[in-house]
Formats: sequence, structure tokens, C-alpha cells
Amino acid sequence: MKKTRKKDPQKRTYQKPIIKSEKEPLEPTMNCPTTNVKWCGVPYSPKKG
Amino acid sequence: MKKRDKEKNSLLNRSVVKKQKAYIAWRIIAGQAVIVNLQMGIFNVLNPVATRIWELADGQMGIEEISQRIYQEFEISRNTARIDCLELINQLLSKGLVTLFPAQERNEEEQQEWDEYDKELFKTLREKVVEKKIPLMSHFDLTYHCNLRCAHCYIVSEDRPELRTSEIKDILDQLAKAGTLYLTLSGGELMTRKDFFEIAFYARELDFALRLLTNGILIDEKTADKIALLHPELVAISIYSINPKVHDGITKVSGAFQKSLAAAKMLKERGVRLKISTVIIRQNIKDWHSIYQLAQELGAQFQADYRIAPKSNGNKYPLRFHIDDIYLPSLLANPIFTKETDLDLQERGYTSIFDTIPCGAGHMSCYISPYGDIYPCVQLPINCGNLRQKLFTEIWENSSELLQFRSITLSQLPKCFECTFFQYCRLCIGLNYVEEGDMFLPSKRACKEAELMETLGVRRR
Repeated sequence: MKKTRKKDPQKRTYQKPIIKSEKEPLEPTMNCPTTNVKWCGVPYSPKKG
Repeated sequence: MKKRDKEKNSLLNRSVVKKQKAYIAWRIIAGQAVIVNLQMGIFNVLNPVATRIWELADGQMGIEEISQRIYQEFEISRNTARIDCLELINQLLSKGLVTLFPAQERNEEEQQEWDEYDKELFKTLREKVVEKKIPLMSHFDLTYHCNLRCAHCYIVSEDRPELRTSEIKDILDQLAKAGTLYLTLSGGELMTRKDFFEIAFYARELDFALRLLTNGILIDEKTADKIALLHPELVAISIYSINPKVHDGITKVSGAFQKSLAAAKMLKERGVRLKISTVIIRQNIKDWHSIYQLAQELGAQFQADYRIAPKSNGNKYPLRFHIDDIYLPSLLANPIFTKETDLDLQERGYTSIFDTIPCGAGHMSCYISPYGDIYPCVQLPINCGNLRQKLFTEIWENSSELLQFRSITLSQLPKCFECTFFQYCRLCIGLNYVEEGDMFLPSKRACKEAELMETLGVRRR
């Protein structure tokens, strides 16, 4: 009879470790990012551009 | 296994694995490590097991010890854990995110391996942080003192003491813990603070991706070297004209242009990622294109804005510098500004949480003043609490102002949401607030701009 391994409740489920990479998206050139939902939080100052 | 691979693996086994701390910024967000390669501008996301391996790469353990820990913590065979760890660490090495002691040479073949990139990681992360209310991006003005006197500036200093070095460091600790990855330091002029470098190096110790907004006036060869050592994700220098007379006229400081330009060049020479920012106002309406060209020559990014904000005390004096409407069509129609970004293209036909909320302010980003006050955004003067009185998380999670602000949905802005030009509008409730005195009343300037964008056929959502 084939021996089955007992699941260890202390151990977490395993998934092959993966890294995904993306080039940081280019920011818009016009207007502050606060007027563009996608870029909210991108460095911006209403007095500096 | 090839002989070369065997040699490499043997070296890997004998080395300890360490994060490339000086060149990266990282946080664990919703159980996944998010790592920015600051030199290459590449954004990386690890799955949970890879995240655990990343945590263990602390310069104390080698591959054997790391894979042993993975075997102990996860449902996996010892051998698979070892093979997978080896593979992931090889990938982390070729992406410049970890290093080995003793060091291992990298070859060109490995570099080539990463010419192709995944998509939508940033977009997915953004959704996740909004859902979990993580302040991914924080804008921190370290001071309101400035060595320029820009005509259009909105800042009004208050008669209160600004945060001390120790208080700022404590706030940075709190922000790091809360999950802020991108930290913008600005002002005023941040370099007028004598402790600026102490604060900036402390921030890098905490693994923030640092963005600095400066006029560059105080940057010389020595300080440029120090800034390069910080490995900031970005330094933005404000230039208002390439005509020194115009720039100095706007900043009201003679010689300011030459100093800002010299700073930009010094930083570029040191490999710092640079952005040239400008505000387009009456005085420099004819100059913005030459500033764009200057940014191109410097190999810098370019950002412009023509929307001027009233002063922070409500005084509308700066609005007199707003460009005449007659210039708007040619400005907005320029391909430099209408060109869609990668993210714009990804967003086409995509439905997300951003279809229901006005923007990410207060959901995934916040603004901190030099007095320790927290606001949803630099453009939204709604004081949500003070960091001298409360902890960041207390304010971020419980402030009634912030909770109320977060509950605002687009459908509560019927004038905007049901408007014919909604798709063409860069709706900003901050702009509504500072211009119309009410977040729910559309800014007349934004309306005008949306109408214009419709005639140009340039959608913004």
C-alpha cells in the first residue's frame, strides 16, 4: 500500500516562490497627479509643478 | 547540470544572502513583498513564499539555512524547497535586489533574461492598498521656510513651531510601520533645514523610496554627492523658464535660475533620477516648451501644471497669475500633454474601485505638514489630526474627518458624475474645495478644461 504523507497542521500551504516585475509606469506630464485618480499621491506641489 | 551551473550553485551555497539595501526600497503589503529597484525604476512583487525567503535574506543566512526554514514552515519536501530557493535567489540576484557574501560575479546572459516584464502589478497593488487602507504614498513637507519668494506660492507659514528632528524621525517610523513605501519630502525648501540629510538618511534606513522636491538652490558638489548616496527614487527640481530674467523674476531671487540649473546638472552627472517640474503661469506662458527641451537634454522627466491654487489661508492672490483662457486650447492640445501613459492605456475598459471613489487621497495617500497635521492631500486643507497629539495609525484609522472623507463616492457628486464631459474631466475635489469652498461643487476651471478635452477627443477616464 502506498504510504501517504500526513499533513502537518503547523505548516503553511506552499506555492512555488515567484517574483514578478514591472517597469515603473511613466507619470503624466500635464497637471498634478491629484487631478488624475491614477496618479494620486505622486509627488506634486501646486507651487512647484 | 552544466559545470558552470554547478560552480555557481556551490558558490551560492557558501554565501550568505543579503538585501541590496542601498539601491532598493521595500515594504510587505498585504502579505507580499513589494520591492522597488531605485536605479532601474523597476517595481517587483513577490508571492507569499518568495516574501518569506526575502524576509530571511538578512545577511545572516545562506541558501541552505533559508531553504531549511522554508521546509520547516511550509508543506513542501526538503529537496523542492532547496531547488526553489536557489532559483528565486538567482532571480533576485539578477534583478539586483540581493547580494551575496562572498560576492558572486554576474554574467551578461543573466542580465538579458529580464528584458521582458510583467504588466499591471502597480495597478493591482493600488487596488489592494485602497481596499486595505494602506498609506502607500505619503507627502511630508519638512518645513515651510523657503529661500525663494515665488509669486504663485500658496503656502502661508503659521505661528507654530515646526516639527523637531526627533519628532520627524518618530513619524517616519510610524509611516514605515503603516506601510508607506513612497515618501515625498518637500517644503518650503527642504534643504533649508539643517537636519535635512539626517532625516533623509534616516528615511532610507527605513527603506522608503524617497522622492525629493527642491529648488536646488542649496545644492553644491558636496551636497550633490550626499544626495546621490541617498539613492532617491526621484529628485524634482522646479524651473520656471530657461530665461534667467523670467525665472528669477518669478522666484524674486537674483541668480536663482543659474543655481537651480547647476544643481540639476550636478545631480544628473551623479546618476540621480531627475525630473524638471514647472508651473505655467502668465509670466512664463511662452517658455514651457523650452523647459521641456531642457528636461530632454538633461535626460530628465518633465512635469508641468498650469492650475494655480489659492493660498492655504484662502487668499486668492495667486490666482491672478493663472494663464488666460485663450492659451488653454493650444496648451492642452499639445502632444506632450495629451500623450497617454502606459497606465492610461492599461486602464482602458478596466473597472475598479477608482470608478466609485473620487481619488486615492485619504485612501492610499496622505499629506503631513511641518506642524504635524495630517490632511488627505496637499491640495485638500481638511485637518484630520495632529501627530504631536496622536499616533499616525490612530488618525489614519479613526479620524472622523478622514472617515467622512473616505465615504465620499463619485455618485455623491451628481453635478460631476452625471456631466456630459465626465469622461474628459480630471475631477479633483481638492480643487473644488479651494476654488469653490465646497468639495461637492465643481471647479469652474476643471469644467472648462473638460469641455475643451472633449472637443480634442482626449479622454481622462
